[in-house]
Amino acid sequence: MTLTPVITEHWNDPTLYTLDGYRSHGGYRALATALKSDPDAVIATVKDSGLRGRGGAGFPTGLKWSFVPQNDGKPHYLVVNADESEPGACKDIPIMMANPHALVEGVIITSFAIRANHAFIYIRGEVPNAIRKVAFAVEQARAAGLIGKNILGSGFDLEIVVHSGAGAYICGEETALLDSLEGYRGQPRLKPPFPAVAGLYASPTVINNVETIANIPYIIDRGVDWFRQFGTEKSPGFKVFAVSGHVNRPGIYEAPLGITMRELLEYAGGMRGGVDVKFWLPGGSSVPMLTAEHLDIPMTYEDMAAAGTMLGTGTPMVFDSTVSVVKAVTRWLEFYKHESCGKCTPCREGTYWITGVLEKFEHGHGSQEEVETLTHLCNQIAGRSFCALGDAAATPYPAALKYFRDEFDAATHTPVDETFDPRASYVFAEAAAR
Amino acid sequence: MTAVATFYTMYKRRPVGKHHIGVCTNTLCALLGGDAVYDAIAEHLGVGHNEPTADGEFFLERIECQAACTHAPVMTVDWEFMDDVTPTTAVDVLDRLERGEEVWSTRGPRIRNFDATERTLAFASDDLATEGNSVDAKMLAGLTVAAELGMSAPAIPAPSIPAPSSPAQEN
Ligand SMILES: Cc1cc2nc3c(=O)[nH]c(=O)nc-3n(C[C@H](O)[C@H](O)[C@H](O)COP(=O)(O)O)c2cc1C
Ligand code: SF4
Ligand code: FES
Repeated sequence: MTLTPVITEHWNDPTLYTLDGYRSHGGYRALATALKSDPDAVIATVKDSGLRGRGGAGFPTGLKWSFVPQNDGKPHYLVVNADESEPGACKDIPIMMANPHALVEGVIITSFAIRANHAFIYIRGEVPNAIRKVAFAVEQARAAGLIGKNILGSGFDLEIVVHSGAGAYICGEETALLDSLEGYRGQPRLKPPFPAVAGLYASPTVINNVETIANIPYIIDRGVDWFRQFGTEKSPGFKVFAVSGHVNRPGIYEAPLGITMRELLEYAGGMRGGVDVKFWLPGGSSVPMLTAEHLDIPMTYEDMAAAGTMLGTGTPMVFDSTVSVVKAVTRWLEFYKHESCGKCTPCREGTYWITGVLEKFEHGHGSQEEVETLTHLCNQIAGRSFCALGDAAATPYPAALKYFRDEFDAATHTPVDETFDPRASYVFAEAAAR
Repeated sequence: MTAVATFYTMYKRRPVGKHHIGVCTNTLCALLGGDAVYDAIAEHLGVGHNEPTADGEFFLERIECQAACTHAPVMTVDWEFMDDVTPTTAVDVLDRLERGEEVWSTRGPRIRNFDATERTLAFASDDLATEGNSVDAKMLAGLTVAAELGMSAPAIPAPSIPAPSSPAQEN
């Protein structure tokens, strides 16, 4: 399958982040088209396109929009989830730094469709350079009359607020994000009610990922038939894949959904030093890992699910055979333990205990009994926690055990750093000297 | 107030000093060399995680994934990207900052100081959007390969409109 740059097509134009630069490539044409149409027609187009959310769960975007009640007399809100904090996910931040107007145009069109007059872009605070680029794009769009009162003479009014997060992975969970935006600790809310009915300030709210919204201008401008040339029936469209790890050319590769990891690897210059793929994760640390056996599975929502994993954020991390899977999993669990919001017991306590036991394995002090203890702990969390962070925390270990049981056995007597010299995994040559 | 302040990692309840130095030690960066980068900086500064140096110049923190895994190992200075560091280049950045030399983010503007970044975050904007280069070769990796191999997305059709409510304007 070939590469198909769409959102990334003009990233080599250093003026793309400016209004003039974006417009020179057809930018804001879709907005004019949408405003001349009507909101329901825009929703229908997005529904027909089959676009699915790029934030991880793959929920159909048009369907989500259609859940917003109409003529209910309440204000409606659009909230863009730009919290991108999932370990391994690194595509929304590049989109915002390189092509912020695609997001802003998408926000205006989406707000028009769901009849929202206020939109919020919640960007993780650790990346000021994404925040300033988006803020700059919003300012330029406002100055050009694309945001504000009576946009392009359509009678549609919209204000966009750019909000900085303050460093909490859980704020990427959509209801925690809403609490955070309202000024509270970011902790998940009970669902239902779903945000489409009672979200921000108890009003109907659509929450979408950055890449999802950045797709909208292209769909509106080029149409459903064009969009559906990419991908599969169930996973239409293109995807900004971010390939990281032990590949020769890590980076951003935009391709249709359905491309395989083997193809992506080839475009990324193959594996560093020709060393074998040991394990890889299709989209973030919260999806189960796969191995070299799975390189030919199409990267779609449905095929990844059939393989026992998920497409997730579509940002594959690839690790070669120099890496200890025990160490990788331990580090991810240290992350989940740190990021657990503490609201529910299975996740708050469970991440603490799993991490403690895994750290014993990392130091070569695990036991056969504890291999089972870990399985038991993960079973106690999965499906029993308040939000998906708990499920995510219970994911890395069972997947690693399934494919690499021998490494956990070895870690009952030998520290992983002895079995796997960490320096062999470094991507710089000076490692050997240290 | 305290409930909120203690919840978020970026709210610091004691002085950070002039420059905040973050080293990503989440799995991918750590394994690709972030652990070694962190150790080298900690040794060089003589401080550990979440500690300021005695002279108030630096504050070191192990940070989580920065959404820059394609650029691993990743360091941040006052939350601006310092991509693809090695132990040597990371320490060199600190030396240059200490000497008061001009240092640029690898994908962003000139390094200022921690307080200035905090103001950027508080107002969610500043006047630095036009400074520096935010797109690098790794962000262009796919575009570059596509150009080499003559690949592109299907051609753009004549502008379409969201049917069906405005049939007069269809195609
Ligand atoms: C712990 C956790 C963190 C999440 N982080 C993000 C995130 O950073 N960005 C994002 O778009 N979605 C994230 N999600 C998913 C959101 O809850 C939500 O499904 C998504 O923003 C919906 O957008 P979409 O339909 O456009 O994909 C996270 C979910 C969980 C449970
Ligand atoms: S699963 Fe974890 S993050 Fe989610 S509500 Fe419970 S404690 Fe908080
Ligand atoms: S793991 Fe370091 S930036 Fe993602």
